Order: sequence, then structure tokens, then C-alpha cells
Amino acid sequence: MSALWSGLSGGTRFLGGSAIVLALLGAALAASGESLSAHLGFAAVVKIWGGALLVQLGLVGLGRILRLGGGSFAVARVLIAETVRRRVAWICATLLLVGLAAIPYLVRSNSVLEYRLSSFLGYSLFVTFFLLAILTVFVASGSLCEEIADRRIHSVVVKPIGRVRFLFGKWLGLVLLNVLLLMVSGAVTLGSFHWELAVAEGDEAEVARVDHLLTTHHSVQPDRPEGLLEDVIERSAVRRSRDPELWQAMLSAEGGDEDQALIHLQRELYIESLAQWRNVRSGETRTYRFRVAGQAAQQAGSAPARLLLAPFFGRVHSTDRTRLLVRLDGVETPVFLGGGESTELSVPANALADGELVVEIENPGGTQSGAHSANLVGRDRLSLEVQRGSLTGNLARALAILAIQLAFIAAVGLAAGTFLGLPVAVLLVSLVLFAAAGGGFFAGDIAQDPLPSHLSEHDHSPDDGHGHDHSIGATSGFMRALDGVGRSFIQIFSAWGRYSPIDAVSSGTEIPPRDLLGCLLWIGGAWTGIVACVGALIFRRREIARVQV
Amino acid sequence: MTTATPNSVVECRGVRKVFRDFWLRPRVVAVDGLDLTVERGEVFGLLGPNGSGKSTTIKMLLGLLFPSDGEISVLGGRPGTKEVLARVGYLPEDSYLYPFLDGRETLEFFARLFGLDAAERRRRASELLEMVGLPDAGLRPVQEYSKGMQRRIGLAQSLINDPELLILDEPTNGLDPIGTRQVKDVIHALRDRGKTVIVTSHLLADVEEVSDRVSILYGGKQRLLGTVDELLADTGRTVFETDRLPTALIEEFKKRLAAEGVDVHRVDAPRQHLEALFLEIVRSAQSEGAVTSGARETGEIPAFLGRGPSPSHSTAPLALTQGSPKRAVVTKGEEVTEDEEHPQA
Repeated sequence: MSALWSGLSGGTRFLGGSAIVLALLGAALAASGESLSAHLGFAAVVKIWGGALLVQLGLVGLGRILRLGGGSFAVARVLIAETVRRRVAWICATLLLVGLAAIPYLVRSNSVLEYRLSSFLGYSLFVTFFLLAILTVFVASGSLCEEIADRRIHSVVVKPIGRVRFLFGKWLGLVLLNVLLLMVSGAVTLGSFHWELAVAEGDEAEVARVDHLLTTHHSVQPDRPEGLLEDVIERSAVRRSRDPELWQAMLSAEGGDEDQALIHLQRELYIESLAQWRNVRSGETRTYRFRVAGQAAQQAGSAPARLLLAPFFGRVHSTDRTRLLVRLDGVETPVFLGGGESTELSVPANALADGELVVEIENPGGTQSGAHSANLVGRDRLSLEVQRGSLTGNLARALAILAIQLAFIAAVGLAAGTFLGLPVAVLLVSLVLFAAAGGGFFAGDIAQDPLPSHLSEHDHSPDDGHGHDHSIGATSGFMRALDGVGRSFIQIFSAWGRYSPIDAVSSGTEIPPRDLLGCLLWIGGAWTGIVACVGALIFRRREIARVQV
Repeated sequence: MTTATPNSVVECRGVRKVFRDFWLRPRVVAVDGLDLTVERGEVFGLLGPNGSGKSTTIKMLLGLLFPSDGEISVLGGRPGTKEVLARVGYLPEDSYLYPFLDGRETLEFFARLFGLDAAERRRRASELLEMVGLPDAGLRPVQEYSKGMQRRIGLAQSLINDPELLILDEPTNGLDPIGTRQVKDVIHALRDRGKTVIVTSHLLADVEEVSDRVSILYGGKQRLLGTVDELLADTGRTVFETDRLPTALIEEFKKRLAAEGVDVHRVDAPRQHLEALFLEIVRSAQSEGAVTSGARETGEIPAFLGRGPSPSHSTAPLALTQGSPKRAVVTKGEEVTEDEEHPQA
């Protein structure tokens, strides 16, 4: 027996021993009459142990897979071995598992199961990304820097592997390690979610409300009113003649280019019209048409949907409530909402059988403090939430997006390590991470109500149909180019923020496969590719050794 | 790129290396107009004091540094290319290993970088571990090794690809006398199998013992180049080495030599060499089966080394010796070098 025990690896012995301790703990709790499933502490220990087991199995599996390939796989395997044997990976995994196990303690004060589970999902993914981002920043930056600093690299790059393949091997190792830890985190999160749900099974009403987390939903925005663009073009001509001061201001802003000034004016009017259309003033009724396309339409016909309504009433008293009348599928429903409040109305499955839903919102006006407009500008203020997909699928897509984002950070770290020392490389990678994550602020602005292509910058004028002449003058051209660079920069930097899987999973919003593909192309392809090319170019061209005379 | 002669392995023509600062201002001229040719199958010693440009030259041969001027050809190709590196073995001045990998993993990792298949990797790693006397330490992390043991693993990794050209930068640095002896034996054996070896060392006696030709650098320039025999001229002295003689006989010799007009500068009873004593003690302990966690008795040079392109050289396995300090018996006007294990051809 002792011979068998001593023949096992350290990790296996630890897991085996802890399994015995765990079983004894469970038996003791059961004997004392405790409900094991409802015991937070026992659940936390089980999660940590189960997660550690998955990490151990995953590492063994990764080691075996990486034995198969060539030089890059060998480098990847060594990088994983380094992080594991230096305890970096295990410390990160332990913190991750302890963090995931501790989250139920943090959210248990929330008595509503739906919100508790939503917070749990959000915190879990946040903790996962936060810890893995730190791991990635330090390992990616440090791995190459250290090897160059302590000259270990002299033994490796004089082998016929090629510097670019060596760099790729390092990146691959880190990406695989991240994928493993993300998968473990996903498994523990999903297991914990269902554990919590099972514990709360007694209250059917509560469990039913969690349904929208389990079956994620797709958010549909109302169609814009027909003829809006034509109306704007017509109004622009009138406005131009009636308000010459405004027209002169726009002409001077566009360097005297009439076509561009007209587009500018039409753009302003279009945005203004959209805002008006989404604003239900006191005494008005507005009609919104929602169309559900593709796969969502098929599912919409068989599953109930929800109409999300969260109007902005301006500065109103906290006790003030505005009454709105919402008519959908021939049924009128009065809703009473105050500042910052929202409501969800059930839409029967048959109401969306043909993939279309017409909603009328009437604002009869009159509250204690006067009449208020119900402002519905913004994606979150008025939308049709159609059920589509499952939590598991959504979580998998969220983790895939996080893996792509971490792969980008890994590429930045390695690229920085090719020419910088460890502290500076870590600083640079951290700054890039914060800048990329901060791109979400820009993304919010850009994502709202995109303009029709007719009114986009540098496009054809809608009335003459001719291409715009860019040769207005050197100064104007330069300024326009500068403006273009700035916009492109914001567009590129906003890519990260366009994909926010943590919010989506915790709110039960579907992450469409299109988003995953977009993230793969933008962050995984464009961003990572550019950074990898720069890193590879520097690493190939640089002298590895230093002056020693 | 310089045109290599058919028999040359390394060709340097007018090579210059200037290290510059961040603003590209010249800071140090490490190598200045170096011309060098290393022929196939020879052991070439690169000598010089600290900072003379030896290591810089070697790093340029490996593509770790790029020459500022001049041309370099290694094995007929450009330094640092995959085709060239696949045929080169390199032992850096320190072993520079991954400390968390064990000895066997280290060798198998480097073998994978050469694209060897799994079975061949395992076989070569086992044979090389045996050769450097670390068969039992192969499963311990390299960070637990002594410096000498790390050096042995470093030597083993430099041979994993059965290189045509072996570059050893301070190979005996940190090694005990057994390891030092072993490195020299490996160099001899590889030369006998047609390999080309470039050695740098501060230990001139080591280089003298193994090298066919030496180049002495100073200030980045080559000051001297030639065969060891050419460079180490006869000192014009004669040494007898005999069993211990009685004092009366010594006096008689002195008188006889004085009568012939020969001055006797020194007569003494030399002490045993510490190296010989050391090796004798170690051999004795090994024969008694004493346990050690360090390097053990070294094994044979693996058969895979030297199956290469030089059929004129012997490929028979050669046993490594455990300490065979060369003894020189010099008589007036004639030098005879005795090296029982590796007699000169």
C-alpha cells in the first residue's frame, strides 16, 4: 500500500488525500443532520476540490497532447511546465477556485434568486478574467524577458527551430493554459449555478424567474419608421433656406464643401428625428414595429418573449409615477413607472408567430408633479427580448471571447518581451489591457443608432449621387485625414468593448455567434496579428547576446 | 558571404563587431578585422584574455550576434540559419538550462528542437546521460544540480544532434577533474570521428592538450595563429624522469654532466600530482560502490555520435577514461609525448 502511495505523483497524492478528507467531512456533516447540498461551506470545498481535479487532469491531458507536435509544441510544453512547477499556474488556479467558491457568500444577502444568480454569473466571469489577465500579463511579459536576461535563450535559439516558431510556441502554451483554466472556471461556474438552483427548487416562482438566465434571450430593436430618410432630406432643404446662420456654420465646419455640409445637416436632422421618434411625449401615442428574423423567428413562435421598457422621465421626484398604456397583440396593459424604473411585459408565443410584433405606447400624461415625456432613446430602454439559446452555450461563447482577448494580451506581452525588460514590459502590457478595456466607452457611443450609409462620413451625397471630391485643399485634406485616423483608432480600440461577454451572461442576453466571429476576426485576427507580426519582426532582427567585452 | 574552401567548416573574412549604444554611437570594438579558417576534422582553440573577443566571435558564428562588417560562413552557409544550426552543437560559457526541467526532460526538449522522433530522443538522452555520468540524476530538476553537473548536462545537450561542428565555450568551466578529463576525452573522440571542434578556454593547458591549432586574440584582433607544435617551440632544456635515485648516484650524474659542460639547474623528487591523487581516490570510492547523488562513473561515448559524413574516421565506440593525466618525458633535442589512451597518430 505504501509502495503504491509513494509511486503516485505529488498532485495525485494531494487530490487523493483531500478526497478522503472531503468524504470524511461530508459524512460528519450528514451524521450531524446537516443538509449537505444547502451547506455553503461544504459546497465551497467541493467546488475547490473538483476544480483542482479538473486542472490536474487538464494539465496531464495538455502535456500528452503537446508531446505530439514539433518544436513549437515542445516550447509550449516547457512554458506550461514552467508555470506549473514554479507554482504560478497553481497559485492562479487556487485563487480562481477559492474566488469562485467564495462568490456565493458575497451574493447570499440578495434574497431574490434571479438577482443572486445573475450576480453570481457576473462575479464569476469577472474574477476569472481578472486573475487570468494578471497571469497572462506576467507570464507573457516575463517568460521571454527572463530567458533573454539570464541567457537561457542562447541555448535555444541556436537550435534549428526558428525564432518565430519559438515565439509562437510560447504564445501557444500560454493560450492553452488560459483555455484550460477558462474551461475549469466555466465548469465550476455552471456546476455552482445548477447547485444553487437545485437548493432553491422548493420555490417554483423564483425558479421560473431564473428561466431567462437559463434560456438566454436575443435583444430586438424596433424598426425605424419608413420614409425617415426621405423626410430628413426634404427637411434639410427647408432648414437650409430658413436657417442661413446654421448653414453657414456647417459650411465653414466642412471647409466650404457644400456636399459635405449638406450631409452634416442631414445627419443632425436624422439623429434628431430618431430621438423624437423614440420620445413619447405627454398626450402622444407612438407605434413601434419589431421584426424577428432568422433562427430567432422560429424560436420566437414557440417560446414566450418579453418587452423591456425602461423610459427616462428626466428629473422627477422619487415617488412620482407616470402611467403608460402599452398595447400589444390586441391587449392594453397600463404600466406605472418612476425615474430609473423598468418593467417587462410578457409577449405570448403566438403573438410572434409570423415573426413580427407591433407595439403601441401611449403617454396619457399627468402625474402628481406634471406631465413627463417618456424618453426611449437607447438600446436598453425599449427592446423585445426573444428567448434563444441556453446558458451553457452562452457561457461557452463568453469564455471563448475571453480566451481570444487573453490570447491578444499574451501576444502583446511576448511582443513587449522581445525588446523590453520585465518591469517596463509588464507596465506596457497593463496599459494596453486597460486601454483596450476602456475602448468600451467609445463602443457605447458608436453602437447606438448607427446612421444609414447615405449619411456616413465621406460617402456619397444623397441628393446628387456623385462621389465626393476630396481635393478641397491641403489644410482641409490634412484635417480630414487626421479625423479619419482618429475615427479609425477609436473604431479599432472600440472592438474590445463591443464584446462584453460578462454583462451578457449575467443579464441573460444572448451572445450571438456573429459576435464570437467578430471578436475572432477583430481581436483574435487583426489585433493579435498586428502585434504578433511586430513582435516576430523585432525578435527575428534583434541580436540576442549583449556586449561582454 | 565568403566562399568557403571545400575542407573549411568556418570562414571569417575581415570580421568586425562594434557594439553601439542606444543612439548608435560606437561603444566597444569587440572584434576588429578577424580572418579565420577552421578546417574540417580539427580541434581549434580560440584563446585570449577576458574581453579579447572570443565569445563575441563564437556568438557571431551562431547567429546570436551579427557582424558589423566582414563575412562569415559556417558549414558553407550563413550563420544562424536553420540548415546550419541543425549541424552545429553549442555549449555556452554557462550551461543556461531550464532549471525546472529534469536532466532527461532537458535533453529530450533540445532533441525535439532538432526534430528527432520520440524513440530516438529517448535513446539519445539515455546514452548521453550515461556518458556524462548522470544516469540516476536524470529525473532530478536541473536547479538541484551542482554547477559541474549542469555543465555535464550542457555538454550532453550540445551533442544531442550528433553535430558536425561542436562549439565549446569554456567547456571545463566549473567542472571537477573527472569532468575536465571527460570533456577532453570527448573532444579527442569526436575529432577521431571526423568532427570539427572549436574550443575557447582560459585554461591554456586544457586547450594545449586537445587542440590541433590555436588562435590567440587580444583587443579583438588575432595576434597569433598556428599549430600547437609550431607555436610551442623547444625550450632547449632536458628533463629525465626516473624512479627514485640514491643521492650518491645523483651526485655522480652531476659530475659526469659537469665534465661534459652541461649545467644542471634543478634536481628534485617531484611530489605526486593532486589531480592524479584525486582521480585515484574517486576511482577507489567508485570501485567500492560508494553512493553519490552527484555525477557517477562516466560511460562510453554513444554510438550515434560520429556516424556522420567522415567515413575515414573510426566510428568504433570509445571508452572514456577516468583520469589519465598526460605525462611528458622530454629528452634533449627530442620530444616524446606519452598519452596511453589517445596516442598521437
